[in-house]
Amino acid sequence: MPDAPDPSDLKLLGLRPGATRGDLRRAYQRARSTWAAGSLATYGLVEDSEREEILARLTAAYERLARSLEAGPAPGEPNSQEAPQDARQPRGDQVSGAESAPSPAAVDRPPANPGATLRRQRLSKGIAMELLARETRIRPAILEALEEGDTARLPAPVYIRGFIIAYAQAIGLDESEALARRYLEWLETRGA
Amino acid sequence: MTTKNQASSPRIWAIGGGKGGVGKSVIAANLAIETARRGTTVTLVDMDLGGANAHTLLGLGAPTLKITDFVERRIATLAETITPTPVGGLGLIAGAGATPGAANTRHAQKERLLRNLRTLPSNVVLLDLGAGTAFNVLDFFVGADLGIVVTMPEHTSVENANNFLRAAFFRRLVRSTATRPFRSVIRELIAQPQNAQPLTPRQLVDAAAGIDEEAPKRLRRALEGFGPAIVVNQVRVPGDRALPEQMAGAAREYFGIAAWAGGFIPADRLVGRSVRERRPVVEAFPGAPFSAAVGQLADALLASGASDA
Ligand SMILES: Nc1ncnc2c1ncn2[C@@H]1O[C@H](COP(=O)(O)OP(=O)(O)OP(=O)(O)O)[C@@H](O)[C@H]1O
Ligand SMILES: [Mg+2]
Repeated sequence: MPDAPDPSDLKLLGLRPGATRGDLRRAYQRARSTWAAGSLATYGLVEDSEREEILARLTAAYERLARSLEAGPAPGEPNSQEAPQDARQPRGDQVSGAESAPSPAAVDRPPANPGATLRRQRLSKGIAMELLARETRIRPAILEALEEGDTARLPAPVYIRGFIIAYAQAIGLDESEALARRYLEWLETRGA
Repeated sequence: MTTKNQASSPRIWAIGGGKGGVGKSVIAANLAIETARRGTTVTLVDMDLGGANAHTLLGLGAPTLKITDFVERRIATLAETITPTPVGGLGLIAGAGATPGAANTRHAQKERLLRNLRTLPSNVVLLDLGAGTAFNVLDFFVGADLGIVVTMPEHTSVENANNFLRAAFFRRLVRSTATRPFRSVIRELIAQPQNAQPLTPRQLVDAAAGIDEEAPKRLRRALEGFGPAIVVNQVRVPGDRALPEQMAGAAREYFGIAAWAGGFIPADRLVGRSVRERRPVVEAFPGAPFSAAVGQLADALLASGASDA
């Protein structure tokens, strides 16, 4: 079972406890358009790097809230999300740490997971997981496993290259081939 | 509707927004009328000490008494400078026109004026602050119960409004962090060398926390009750209607202040016409889109006061 909605996530998106999925979606849509590149509303307010950091924070909060609201007792909505049970495992410290502080916390693991870079890039562009899943037609569980470098949940390496390329292209990264190569190299160092 | 007891001190609304010519004075004059029509007594105070025009927008002749008569101590109390208007429940404190030096109110004068605004005998005191981010303007804005930032849906104007919000945010911190050592620390953090990157709110809180671990809590307390309303004027295309919500959201997410969307006001050629005819828009053209929007703004501002009173 995922946790109850995090109060600080709710506050960040200007929501009250008891907010519905509809409230969440509207609040995030507003936040996303506000902090998008070229937005008039924030003109003169922030530098681009700061804008991306704020957008990433909001998007990460949105995803956590969406996950906890989705699992809650929502009236009449079958729990039809394609995420299998194992995607609901508590997330590792590595991931949530990287969300609250922009600098990755886990420096003690020498080869950095290239999936974390993908995630950071995705969030800073305000692309929520569900949107990426729709764009790439890859199941969210797999996208999450890619970001977390969770070998237990990943398919065989032969399939991964295509996934990484699709992911990278969907979030507008040019170097998708190189990223896929790096990702597979990294998986090898992990003995996958 | 609840009409407030005259004996309690008035609620102060202040209209600012950085850029000149965005419609602050037209909105202030018409908002004052719409608010008075709702059974709330209003004093409109023309604080644009460099270019006063509220009396003209209300269709009045040159008033005999002006705010400067109080500031320069020719008149003992501010309430005595109120000029009656033909609108029931609405009084005007006229501005000084382009008196040289009038815009540079000294500190003691400013504090005396602020104190006296709180003693005016109406439910609402509406300040038209004029353009700019001088301390004169900012101190009245952050000292008000409710700040209203007016902007237009164009880059220069939004940039000015965002800079105004930033300046007001820091000014509020300086003015409400009363204890001496802490206040000077905040001042030092805010004082920026020319052309350096302006400090972000987050950096400020982090830096202050390094000096005093209680600091973040005190900063948060200083910002409590600071929730400006964002009004976007002269909206022409439907796409710009989302701007008040977006700008308010940005201020909440960036400064951590309780900013909210006061709404948008359409561009309306009847505004220019009524200004030329020297008649308030809401009186000359009550059915105009501008008039309807200003009426809604009055409702929203009154409701905001009812909820936190
Ligand atoms: N909604 C509107 N539709 C059309 N014209 C408008 C509207 N609002 C304002 N205007 C026009 O803009 C002009 C400038 O407005 P106003 O004098 O209120 O600006 P201001 O912000 O008070 O300027 P300043 O900073 O110089 O005091 C007015 O003369 C009016 O004709
Ligand atoms: Mg004006």
